[in-house]
Amino acid sequence: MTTPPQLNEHDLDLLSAYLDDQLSADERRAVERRLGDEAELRQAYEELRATVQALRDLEPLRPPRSFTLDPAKVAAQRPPAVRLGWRRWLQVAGVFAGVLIAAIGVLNVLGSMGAGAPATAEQPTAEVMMAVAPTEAPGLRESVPAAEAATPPIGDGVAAPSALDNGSDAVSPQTLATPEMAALPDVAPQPTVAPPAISSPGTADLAQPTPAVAPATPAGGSNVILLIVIVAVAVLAGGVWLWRRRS
Amino acid sequence: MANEELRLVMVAQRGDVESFNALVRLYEGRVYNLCYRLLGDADSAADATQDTFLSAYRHLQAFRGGSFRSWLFRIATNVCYDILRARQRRPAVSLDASCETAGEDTPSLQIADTSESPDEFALRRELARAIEAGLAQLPVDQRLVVVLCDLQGLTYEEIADVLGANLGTIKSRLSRGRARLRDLLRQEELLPLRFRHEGEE
Repeated sequence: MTTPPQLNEHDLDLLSAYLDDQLSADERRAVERRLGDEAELRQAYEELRATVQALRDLEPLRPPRSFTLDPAKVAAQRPPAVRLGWRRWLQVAGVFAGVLIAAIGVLNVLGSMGAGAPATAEQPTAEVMMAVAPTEAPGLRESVPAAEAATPPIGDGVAAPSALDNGSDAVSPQTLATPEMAALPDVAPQPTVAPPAISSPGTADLAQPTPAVAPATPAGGSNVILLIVIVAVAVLAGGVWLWRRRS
Repeated sequence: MANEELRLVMVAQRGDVESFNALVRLYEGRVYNLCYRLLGDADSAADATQDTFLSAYRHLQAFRGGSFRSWLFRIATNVCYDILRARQRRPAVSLDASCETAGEDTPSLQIADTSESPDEFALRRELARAIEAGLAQLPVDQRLVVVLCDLQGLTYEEIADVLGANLGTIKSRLSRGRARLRDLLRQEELLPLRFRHEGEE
């Protein structure tokens, strides 16, 4: 018996790809020309073709049983329905609404308490002002229309939950909601204490035209901010709740 | 067909087990065969197939379109790799041994048609046995590509998608795997005679 032809790896790759019609037109023509000229290459090709044919002729096996899932068992394990269908959205909306109502209730109670003791509200309000609108520029306050006054807090309010969402792994809805909700009542009497907070020296060098909370419509502006913060907290709490359900 | 398949996937993603089971019925034969050819024994292949479908169901949300078959085969491949790795750590059953017993699991080959002589039938049977034994001897990465291409009929692009490898790697593994199998068949003188004799003339 003669020694079988040993091809180099390149020729082997070429023949294998030629068998699967994976060569470019030029490559194919070159291989066909060589197959006509080189007996060794032709023999190697025929052997490879026979091998591939033997593989393809291998009869498929019949599975020993069915692999369909038992709905009862699967349901007991874990349903895959994580995608938010309309029922799911309804549940989420319910949670949002619940958190919202609770927040407004707490706000009202603490707001009325805060009105009776305005002196104690001063310090927390300053903290809220620093946290919610740190870039306020007092010099531009008068030139900003009232409608635009609410814009920066909206931006902050929207950014906050998304940032927290990303890192919400170890945060529970309660721990997220509580500090913000506790601070919310202090925003209500804001018009009386806002000027000192705005005129703090720490914000004086920020010359960008970021509007402050408009003093012309103190009640309306603060209510809008408040509503936004509440909605943000509610969305955040709902999101965290959802995340915990999924994981 | 592809549309119907995607529709089933979408309904199953909403938690409909029956739709998912329709997909199982569509693919269980192919997944079982893939697992069997990679693992070499019927019991392991059945377990791997069941694990594949369970895993696919649990992670159905991760399927974001494209070829469902490729996605499913990727899961099956990973499941089989896990089993093979576990075997390597604790080699209680060698692949060769399991392959020797595989003949008992495989259904007996039927004579294809009346024109096939008993000799031809015997040769075909011997060839199938040698191919199975040869597959078991291939390195896993080569075996996988050969099985996906020549037994499952996937294109190079689909195989690259399943394995997350580039086309050059796929082509290389495939040609080396085929060449090894050819050498094995040649050793056992199972290649058709005219090819073996041609070089001797």
